[in-house]
Amino acid sequence: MRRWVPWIVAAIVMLILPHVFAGGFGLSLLNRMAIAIVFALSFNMLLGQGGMLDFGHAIMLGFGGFLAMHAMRLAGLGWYVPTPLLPLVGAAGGFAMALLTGWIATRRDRTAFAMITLGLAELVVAVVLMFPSLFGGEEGINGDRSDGPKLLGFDFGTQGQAYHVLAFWAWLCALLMWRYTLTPLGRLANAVRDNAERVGFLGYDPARVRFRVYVLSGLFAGIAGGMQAINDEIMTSVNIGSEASGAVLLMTFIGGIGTFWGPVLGAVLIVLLQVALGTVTDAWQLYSGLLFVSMVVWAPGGLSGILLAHAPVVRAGRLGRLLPDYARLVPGFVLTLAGVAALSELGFRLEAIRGGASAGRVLGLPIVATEAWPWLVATALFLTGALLLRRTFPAARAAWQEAAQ
Amino acid sequence: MLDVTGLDAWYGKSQVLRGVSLNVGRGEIVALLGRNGAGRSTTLKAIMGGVTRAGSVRFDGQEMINRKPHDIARAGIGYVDEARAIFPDLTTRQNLILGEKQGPGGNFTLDDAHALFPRLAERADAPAGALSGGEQQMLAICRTLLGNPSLMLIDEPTEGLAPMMVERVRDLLLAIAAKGVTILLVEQKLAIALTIAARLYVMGHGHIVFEGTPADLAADAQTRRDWLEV
Amino acid sequence: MSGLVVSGLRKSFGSLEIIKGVNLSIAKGERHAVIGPNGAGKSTLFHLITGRFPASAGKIMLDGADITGKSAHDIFRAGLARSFQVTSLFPKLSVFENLRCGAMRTHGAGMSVLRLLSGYRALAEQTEATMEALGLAHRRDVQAGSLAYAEQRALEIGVAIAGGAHTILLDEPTAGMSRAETERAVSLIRKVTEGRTLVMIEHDLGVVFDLADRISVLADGQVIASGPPAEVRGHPAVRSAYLGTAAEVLA
Repeated sequence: MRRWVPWIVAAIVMLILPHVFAGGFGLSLLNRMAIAIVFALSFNMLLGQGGMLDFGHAIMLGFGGFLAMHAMRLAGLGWYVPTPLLPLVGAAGGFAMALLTGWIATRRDRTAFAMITLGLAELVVAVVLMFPSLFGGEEGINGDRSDGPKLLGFDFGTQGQAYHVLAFWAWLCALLMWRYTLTPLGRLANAVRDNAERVGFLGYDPARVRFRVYVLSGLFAGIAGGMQAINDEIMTSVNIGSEASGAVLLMTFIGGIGTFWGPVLGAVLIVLLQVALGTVTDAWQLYSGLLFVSMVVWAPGGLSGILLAHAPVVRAGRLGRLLPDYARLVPGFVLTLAGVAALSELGFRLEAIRGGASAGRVLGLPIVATEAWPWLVATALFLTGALLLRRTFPAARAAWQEAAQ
Repeated sequence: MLDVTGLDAWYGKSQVLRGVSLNVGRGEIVALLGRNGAGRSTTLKAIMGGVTRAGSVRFDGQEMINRKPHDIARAGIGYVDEARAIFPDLTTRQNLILGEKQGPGGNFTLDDAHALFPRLAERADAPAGALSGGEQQMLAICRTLLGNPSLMLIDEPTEGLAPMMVERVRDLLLAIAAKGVTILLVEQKLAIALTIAARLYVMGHGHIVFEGTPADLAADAQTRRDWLEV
Repeated sequence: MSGLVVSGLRKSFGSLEIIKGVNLSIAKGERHAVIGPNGAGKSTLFHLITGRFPASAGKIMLDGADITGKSAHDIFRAGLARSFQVTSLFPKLSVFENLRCGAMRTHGAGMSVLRLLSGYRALAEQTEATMEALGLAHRRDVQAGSLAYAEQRALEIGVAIAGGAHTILLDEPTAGMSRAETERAVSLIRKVTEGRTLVMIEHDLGVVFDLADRISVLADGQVIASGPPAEVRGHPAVRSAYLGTAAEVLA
């Protein structure tokens, strides 16, 4: 019974959230997070749990999304698929795509697998563009989620109603994907990740294990696609392409691939970054990219890895000792961040001006990219911050090593 | 030749060596004994710069504690890893050639390596990854010898070798020491260590617990009982 | 004919012939050691028997069934399990999980997502028993990658026997162990292979003469002697190929 507590708490939190973040903006954010959570969790079934790096995970989300989109439009022909069940249609789409591509890709592992998925992803996008009647060409396929039959008086047209559908599916998928980690296949996936050859000597064909995991992961990615169809009411070739595949890799890695809940953290954070920063600056993709690179270099365990590493410190009550040294890192960190942001915005604006755009603003400040002084200020901020960090870091590291003993 | 003082070492967060101090004179063979986990391999790795360390490592009068492994190797210290660490996709000959270097320790050549272990000549063009475990061991030793180091740090040279090879390696070590190369050796087989080492150190829990000659150790049943299993 | 029978086995890698016609006959329940100089092809022989490489020629029969050319996972299901010379565990999984992986197949836990692993009671019980027998119960939840070397070697043997295979192949199980660790490993091997067929590659002759009912000597890809320990000890070809004292001083 105790095992259910986190899930019950999560369900309660999910029910409360839309009342806390009640505006259209808040709900839109929550909806996108729900979709990203399912997508990232399905991605980590492959990467963190199975040792498979899939460069084309969005093809399964996308195909599921397109199938769900068509199901949504069937209402116009008199065939009604209840909106809350559209993610199941997405599941079928993701499953089918995964069967097709997984049959080829999972014969190999490690680098070869990754390269095959990269190739297949490009192939799928090209095929999608070749059939505009099925996939809408450049404009994509759109629909209306309130066209479906009413359930208990709800037509799911409002964002709030859509939220409840999406939140339910996110909760259910997370639960099912958690349960999967406790099954024989889930454990075999871990074993194949750690030592595929030995798995063979224990009676299982590692390629078949990989295939099953890949198809299951595709099924859940398809559900995310169905959820996205409900939320966006449009599906285009962009949703099935490399940008979307790259985004899920980024958010899963930043969240941390070594734990089950790391991807959830990453999904929430990156959606926040995407939406919040997206309204403020054009360069938000650059920031998430920089964050990704920083993680790879300095914290490959991701955010969940960092948090987990601090857990024993917190349990031993030694967190207080760390905080002063950590706090001293903050000014350097803030300045470095400000410098990086300033340089990024200036660079971005410079390129835009060369392309014919006018000067822009960020946070209300005009960006003057064509004069020297903003560049000097930005560089000065960055260098000062970096120097400060360099000065204060050894003390923080020493405090960490001591606290971690 | 080698003076280690107060050497500490860490694997990540855990401290594995605590204040290890030892010295090896020019042309000596010194053995480092102790149970698995006592810190013998880590001591060699720390001298070579392969783990986080602190303290003092003086080689031929120069302080090495802050140098990177490749600088330490250039200074004339050769290291044979317990895990062999050969390059599996290169051929046996290519592996050996990679180790070739002018060095203070003598003039060991490829032909010498082939004469010592004919197997390496027979398998010269095979990828080193296809060699058996013992053959890889031979390869690792010869590769380091080809660098003509003046000090050799050797971790378990006889592991995985057939009895006849074990004897050959023992004789080899005596021969190169006779030529003036200094050797610091980690060896599990006590019989080997006791017959070739002039002096030995016993380690336990990350520090030195005994220092002396083989005769001293033979006479000290307490140390043998506490720190080794004889 | 029951047991493990190898006839006319050959293996070449390109132009390099490693196994040059090996015949071995190991009776059911026998403890058999394979010894020989480095590079003789002992591990390669294991790789051929366990399906890691296909043989170039020859036949391998296990309990009357032809397993030549079968995949590793099919051979395991036929009841033959092996350990590795270079430790090959699942480093991020715990001791318990490593052993459980070794026993899953024989307890019918296929690649399923329907039942939870915790629902396979007999599987958990056998895994606990194996862990006790290995003396690793106190390290149950430690990641295999964090174990001490001798513990890893014990776990390496454990993963091979965890599923209850009737024929066990151990590749240098005591490599790198001290005297005391070797003795513990030997009594462990004796205990867990009771009633099973054991084939063991070893360099430690103390272990070999202690455990083995019969010994085969492999040199240069061929079996040059095969028989009870006393017979092999006195064999002249064995002496010169393997046991002799040739002191070659570097000129």
